[in-house]
Amino acid sequence: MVKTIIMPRLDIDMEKGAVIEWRKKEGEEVDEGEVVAVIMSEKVTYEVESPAKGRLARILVEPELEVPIGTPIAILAEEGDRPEEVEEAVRKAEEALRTLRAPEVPEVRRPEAPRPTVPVPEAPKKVRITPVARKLAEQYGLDITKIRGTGPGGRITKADVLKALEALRARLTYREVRLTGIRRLTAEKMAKAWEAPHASLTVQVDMTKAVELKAEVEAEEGFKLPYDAIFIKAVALALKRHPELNATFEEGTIRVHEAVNVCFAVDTSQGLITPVIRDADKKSLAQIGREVRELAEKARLGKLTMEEVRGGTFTITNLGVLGIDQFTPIVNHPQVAILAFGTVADRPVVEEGRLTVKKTAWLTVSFDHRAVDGGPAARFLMTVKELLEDPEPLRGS
Amino acid sequence: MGSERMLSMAEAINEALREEMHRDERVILLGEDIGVLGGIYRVTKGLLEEFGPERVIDTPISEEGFVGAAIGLAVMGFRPVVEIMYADFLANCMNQIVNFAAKMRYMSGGQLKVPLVIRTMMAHGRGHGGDHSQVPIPWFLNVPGLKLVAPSTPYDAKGLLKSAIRDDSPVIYFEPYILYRTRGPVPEGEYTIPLGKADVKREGNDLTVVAISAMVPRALEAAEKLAEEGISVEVIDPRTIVPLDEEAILRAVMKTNRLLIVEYSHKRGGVGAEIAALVVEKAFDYLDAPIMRLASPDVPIPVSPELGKLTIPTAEDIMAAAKKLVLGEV
Repeated sequence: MVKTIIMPRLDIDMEKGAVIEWRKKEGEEVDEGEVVAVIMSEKVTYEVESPAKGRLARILVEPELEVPIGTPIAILAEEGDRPEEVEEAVRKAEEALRTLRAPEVPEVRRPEAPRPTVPVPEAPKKVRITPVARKLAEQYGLDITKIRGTGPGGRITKADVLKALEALRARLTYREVRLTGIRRLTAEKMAKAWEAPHASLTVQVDMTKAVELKAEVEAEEGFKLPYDAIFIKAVALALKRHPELNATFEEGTIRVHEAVNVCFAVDTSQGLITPVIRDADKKSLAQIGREVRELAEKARLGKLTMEEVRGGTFTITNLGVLGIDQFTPIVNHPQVAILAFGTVADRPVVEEGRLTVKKTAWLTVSFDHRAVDGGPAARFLMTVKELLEDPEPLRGS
Repeated sequence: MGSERMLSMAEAINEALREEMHRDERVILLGEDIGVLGGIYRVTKGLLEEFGPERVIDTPISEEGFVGAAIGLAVMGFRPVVEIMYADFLANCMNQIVNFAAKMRYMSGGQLKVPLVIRTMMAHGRGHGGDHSQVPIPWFLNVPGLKLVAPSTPYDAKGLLKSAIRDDSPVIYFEPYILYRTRGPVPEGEYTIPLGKADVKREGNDLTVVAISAMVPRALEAAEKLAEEGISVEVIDPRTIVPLDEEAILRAVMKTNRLLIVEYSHKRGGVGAEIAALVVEKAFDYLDAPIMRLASPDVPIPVSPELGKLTIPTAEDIMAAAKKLVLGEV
């Protein structure tokens, strides 16, 4: 039987398509399922297969000509088809194509309709979709014009939306990480801390003597003294002189603490964690050094106890080990202030009118401006600077 | 529930009447052939003997007359239970029901009340012809002031009839002939079922079937077979058409997103139409397919039993409609 090959519908929204390549020539024999043409609609290409074994009797459309779906594009003659049957099919198909290609008759000019005074909005494209599918698509922000409907007449159903959603998820180039554990707590705490109006003060500190002190302690004690220990001690002593920064602020109440419990930030695979050195002002540098090393190790192993993280009154944070020069920290809620320090490095310094090179570090104190003003914070920071530049008081207990 | 006693629906109704007559002497029965004969299907069997001719009154063939009399009795403090032998005969006393029973409480500003129950039998499925086969529940849907009850199990039949008798509004209580002899568990002892409370007869996720009266067992049969094909059907029996348990229906539709309503009244203006409109109004956003209705076609019921079969939805009809809905063919 003579078969008419038509422009297929590749997609529910497809209206037109074009043959971009004929794989078979007119008159050529083809097998059932053999590709006769490649068509394209939008950006999708598709191979049109022969519906039966036979001869490609006539190619009706040239490549690149866009025709509506359902338009005949070729005639296939099967063995035993009489020539007049083939001719009849070709004639019918060409007839259909002629009406399609007929040049547009210019419209008779009608008197112009009065212009609407209000712009007429363009009617939205009608999409067949069930109510629950529409609601679901809206909920997930899916564009319903891009969802393929499998219901009657291409109606989009709930199952289609769920499928589209699944496909979308499969194409995501990111992975979703549920906030759990330390990450979640950090998120909550940071959000809380961000409620505090922050101000930050920065100063450069000459670390020459502190570095010498560090080396001395290391020689005496036989272990590497972390910079954190030096800063903790300096901060602890400064806080004794400026207790308004050794405070917490919650529910409208500032609590100025007696004990100086300094937290230090530890970067672990699980996230940021801040163990506490209790009564840091009363401990020797070596003692603080040992505790810092021990607590940092426990933090990395996830073995800290509640007692080792609770009750901090101030926090220091150090990104110097990662090569950062200077940064602005966020307070460790409910504490009112935090000190950040960067890498200790040789830097150009002007001293008594002469340019020289010294080991320095940048210190930044951030504070909750609801609880503390710039003056006390500046005085505190200058005390820390003095203690670091002349660090003998840091050594003992 | 204690006992596994099995009763037919006819026996359950008989028991409800007997218990209420013992409980409250204001409960009296009126109707054609209910006394000496005990009802043409023996639903009132033994009640004349037990309660005497003053409380079980055989009436002449005069529906308008004895329904009017019963309304008068109700207004004066009795709790009459009238039997209309065939639901088709409700047409004979329509004026009394619609213009008096349903209106008196409202038109008297609440001074009068009409605690009347009209029991009636829907003989559809029996080959009794167009004027003895109707399921005329929808006739009364458009009449405010009436409550409409349509049980599908012996258990529900008893509990609902007792509530209907105790209710101060006029209630029409529709009994499906084709389930009179169907037996089911009815526990010994007192219980009632509130009017306006649907019963989820089976839980499911893919489709909600709201089935009315005798369509409930057919829906359950269909659901059972569909389950074997992996289609999970929720079957809801509203039990009372007025007041309707809207929440139960809406909740089920919100879960399954598809709805089929099965009744054996005529389709046009039927209970299904009312429920479909309700769902479109209140749960439109939850629909994933058009609502479908199965009902008796809009022609008078033929006498021929073979033709008559075509006018009642079957379990197979329900299965076919359910598949169309769930497989997205409509």
